[in-house]
Amino acid sequence: MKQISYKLLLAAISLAAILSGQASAETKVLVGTDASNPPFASVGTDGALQGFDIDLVNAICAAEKLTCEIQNIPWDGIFAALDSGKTQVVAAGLNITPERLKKYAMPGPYLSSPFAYIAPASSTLDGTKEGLSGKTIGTVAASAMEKYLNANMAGTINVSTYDSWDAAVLDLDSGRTDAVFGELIALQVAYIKAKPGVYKIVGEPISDPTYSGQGKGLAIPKDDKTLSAAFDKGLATVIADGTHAQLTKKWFGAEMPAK
Amino acid sequence: MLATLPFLGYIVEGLMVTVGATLVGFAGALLIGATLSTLIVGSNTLPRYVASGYVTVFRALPELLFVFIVYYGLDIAMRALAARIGIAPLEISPFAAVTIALAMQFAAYCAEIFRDARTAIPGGLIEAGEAIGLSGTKVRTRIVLPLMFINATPALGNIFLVILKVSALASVIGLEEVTRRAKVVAGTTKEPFGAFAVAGICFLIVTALATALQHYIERRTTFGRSVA
Repeated sequence: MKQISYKLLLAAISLAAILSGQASAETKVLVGTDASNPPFASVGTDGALQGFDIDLVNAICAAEKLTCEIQNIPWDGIFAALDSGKTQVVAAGLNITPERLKKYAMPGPYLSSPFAYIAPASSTLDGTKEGLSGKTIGTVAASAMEKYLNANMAGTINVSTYDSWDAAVLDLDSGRTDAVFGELIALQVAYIKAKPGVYKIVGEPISDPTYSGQGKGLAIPKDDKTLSAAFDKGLATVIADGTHAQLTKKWFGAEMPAK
Repeated sequence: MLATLPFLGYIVEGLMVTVGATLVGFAGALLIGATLSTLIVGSNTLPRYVASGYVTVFRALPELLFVFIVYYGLDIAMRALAARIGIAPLEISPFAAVTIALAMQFAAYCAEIFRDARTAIPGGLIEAGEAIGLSGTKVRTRIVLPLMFINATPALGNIFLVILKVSALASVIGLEEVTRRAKVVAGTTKEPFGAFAVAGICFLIVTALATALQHYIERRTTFGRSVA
């Protein structure tokens, strides 16, 4: 009896050892993004990653002669992956915020992105604080948008949080929320252009120095100074040589400034 | 639905990962589970308590929590260990993390199933084996283990299906299995229903095949007993 159990135990342990994989020897830069957020990152029909963030990272890596591998990581776990070293750079349309700057170096800004509310085309909301009073607004959890709402609209509106923009917009479709609060460019391309006549932007786009005014950046842990310096330099290069402008035209339909 | 169609191959490809993770996780759960059940019915006190403790703990932990513990926790532990003994740390891939988590977690259920399956073997059969002069090892390998597996088949079939579905939890740590790919496609096409319907059909097909296989095994092993 004992012998059998030892053999089984041994088999189980060796199985676990095989599964735990090999340490990677190459020096690749791992870049994490969540490919369910067009136009920043999504997948093509062949499963290949595509989007503004993907092209931008590839351009930066090419400029700095780095070998970069872009990983598709769910948004919920993307900062955990960055903190635990499973990825070295996050390029997921992140907004530069003071809170994130405490922990990460954030090369950028590579896009300015004011916030906006979208609502069904038939909505009578006007986007003002009074008009939104008592309404339920959907947004993505742990995003700069959620933090903006909590800081500025607490007590006025009910905030409903989701793990993705799609989930937030699905609840908007079903009428459980009155509007979705997100980023103007992403909402424009992903929802308003994709489904003409279904949604509209309500009110004026909002720029807030604390939450959106600093634009979009990449995130790299502060300890990795060499890497963040390389990305700072690479980003400056692709902005200066016009690659950045070309990419914004490709993904957003119009040239957009980095700042 | 139309925008989802070009992504069909991409989602279905994820099925390989789902089935792979399920099979490896299931095999690991069977191995560890059989070991645990052997220890639980064994005569050594300490291993018995350890194994019972294992079963109690892992039946209580939520699967998702344990997936996180293995994926992030093990990684941190590995790096601490590697730094201490001065070697390059092993990296835990999402696939490895989810299979380890599933195997360890479902081993607890398998251990219970095996224990029940073993108790259900009539003592007379074992005594009969001993009476005709079979050695202890032969009684175990020819009588106890085969009958134990036969008794356990229906319950193990259930466990397999549960593992198959729980493997979707791997999507939260970025394993590119069916659910994660469906979510990515839903985000890309803005057609969540289409993408998730494809994923649902994938699971239905695998479940149907697994159930058919289970019934086949059950039919082949009903000798001498009434068919339910």
